[in-house]
Amino acid sequence: MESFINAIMSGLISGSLYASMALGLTILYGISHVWNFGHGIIAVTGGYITWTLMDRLGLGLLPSLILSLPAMAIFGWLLYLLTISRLLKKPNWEYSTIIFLLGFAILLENAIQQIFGPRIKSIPKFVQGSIEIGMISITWQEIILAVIVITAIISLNLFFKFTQLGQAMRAVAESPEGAKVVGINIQKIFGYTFALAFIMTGLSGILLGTKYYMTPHVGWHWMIIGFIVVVFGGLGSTTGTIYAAMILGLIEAFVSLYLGMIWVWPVWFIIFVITLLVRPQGILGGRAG
Amino acid sequence: MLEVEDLVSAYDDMTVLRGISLLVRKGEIVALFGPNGHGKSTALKTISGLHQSSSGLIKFQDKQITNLPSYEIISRGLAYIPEERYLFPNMTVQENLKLGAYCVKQKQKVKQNLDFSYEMFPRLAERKNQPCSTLSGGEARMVAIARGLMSSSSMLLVDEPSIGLAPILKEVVFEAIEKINREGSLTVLIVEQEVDYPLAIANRIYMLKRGRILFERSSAEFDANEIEEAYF
Repeated sequence: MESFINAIMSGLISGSLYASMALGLTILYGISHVWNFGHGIIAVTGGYITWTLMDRLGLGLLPSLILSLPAMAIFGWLLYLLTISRLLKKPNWEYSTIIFLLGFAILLENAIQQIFGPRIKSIPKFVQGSIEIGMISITWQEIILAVIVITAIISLNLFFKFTQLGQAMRAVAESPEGAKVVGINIQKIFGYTFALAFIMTGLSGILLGTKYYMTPHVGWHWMIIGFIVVVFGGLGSTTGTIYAAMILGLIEAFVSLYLGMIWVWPVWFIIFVITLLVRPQGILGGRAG
Repeated sequence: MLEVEDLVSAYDDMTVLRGISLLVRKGEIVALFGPNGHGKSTALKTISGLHQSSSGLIKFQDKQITNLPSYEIISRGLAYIPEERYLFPNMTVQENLKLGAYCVKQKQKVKQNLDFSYEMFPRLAERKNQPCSTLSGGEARMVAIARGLMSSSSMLLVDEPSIGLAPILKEVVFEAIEKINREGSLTVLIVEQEVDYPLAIANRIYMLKRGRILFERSSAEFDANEIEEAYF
């Protein structure tokens, strides 16, 4: 019984990390319809920026995390401005952006390896120790991770609902022509979208770096998880992404507990494929989130 | 207020507008008639910046706006109400309307415009917190029109405002346009397929056929025979 309850906790924690990871991908696709094949390396970059700030500048974890977020925003915005915006103006941008981002990811991955070396790094935990409430045993680190993710998700919701920029981004996601009609500058919004998506993705890379480990090459693993979560939850739906992430996190925990970790991905893929056969638009797909 | 000279507009290699010229003076209501598929919507989309022109000149308030981006054109006071509506389906009526005022700087003005929209279309006030995807066709059309009015523009380009509406609603729509033109001195260029309602409120009309302007008349001079000749 105890292991069952701890599996639920563990699944929810993993799920919330996966949610933070997939949200950047969903936001980017939902608004700009660019599918980021470099999604994983963006997460990794966030982790490495934080690690650099901590290791080379001696900053604490929280300040490093906070400073890395605007850095990720600028990174995303510049990437859009200098490269993606040009591709979007030409025909077949759906494909050219995929190929470009894939190539860019390989480039960045190797650049990171050159600078930092291939060995495993990890970002130290915020805090040590664990707490026991009845049958549940959970570390403070996990609690803090969950709090950070929940805060991020609530902030995103408030941003999209109550700020002018957030509303403009939703408008572009729902009807680009309508957005043009009311005077929204779509290109400018795309720039902000990349910035926001990279903030979320970078943050998730930092959090994943504290829970697991970081190498320049771990991005592809995160990216595939992100893809599964986003497609399972419904392309472009942020709510669907969150549900999908939690479900997949819980599945991972229970499969690990009863079948062994090696069965997690096979089970994920089986459920994923069945869902797509039965409901191709994903759990909450067919709606902009 | 709006001058269009020899405007040519194409989709891929199909030329839709073959050099049209028209004029809308400040305070006028001008109607652009013509059979379907002959370029009426293309004309408005090209003027409003949603579509690029191939050649020709567009001037608004004596300044060139040819091929400027749509956000630039609306910020100069020329708003477009598309036939396709292009509403934001999962956002509420109120959110859609407020986005119509995206370019309006003063919060006070936005509130004023919102109150005015609800006054003109009370049905929308009832549904203001409902997502637009739940609205009927007529209600959605009202949102599209009100959203265009939210921009506090000096001129409106309206594309088939009454299409698919019940006759009672058609009256409401054209009365509203006439009222805003009269009280708010809003200049209007309406594109319509049906002639009766717009003719009743317009000062002048243009007839478009196969991408060219056939003729221009004051609405008083225009008569039924010319309609038949033009359409058939």
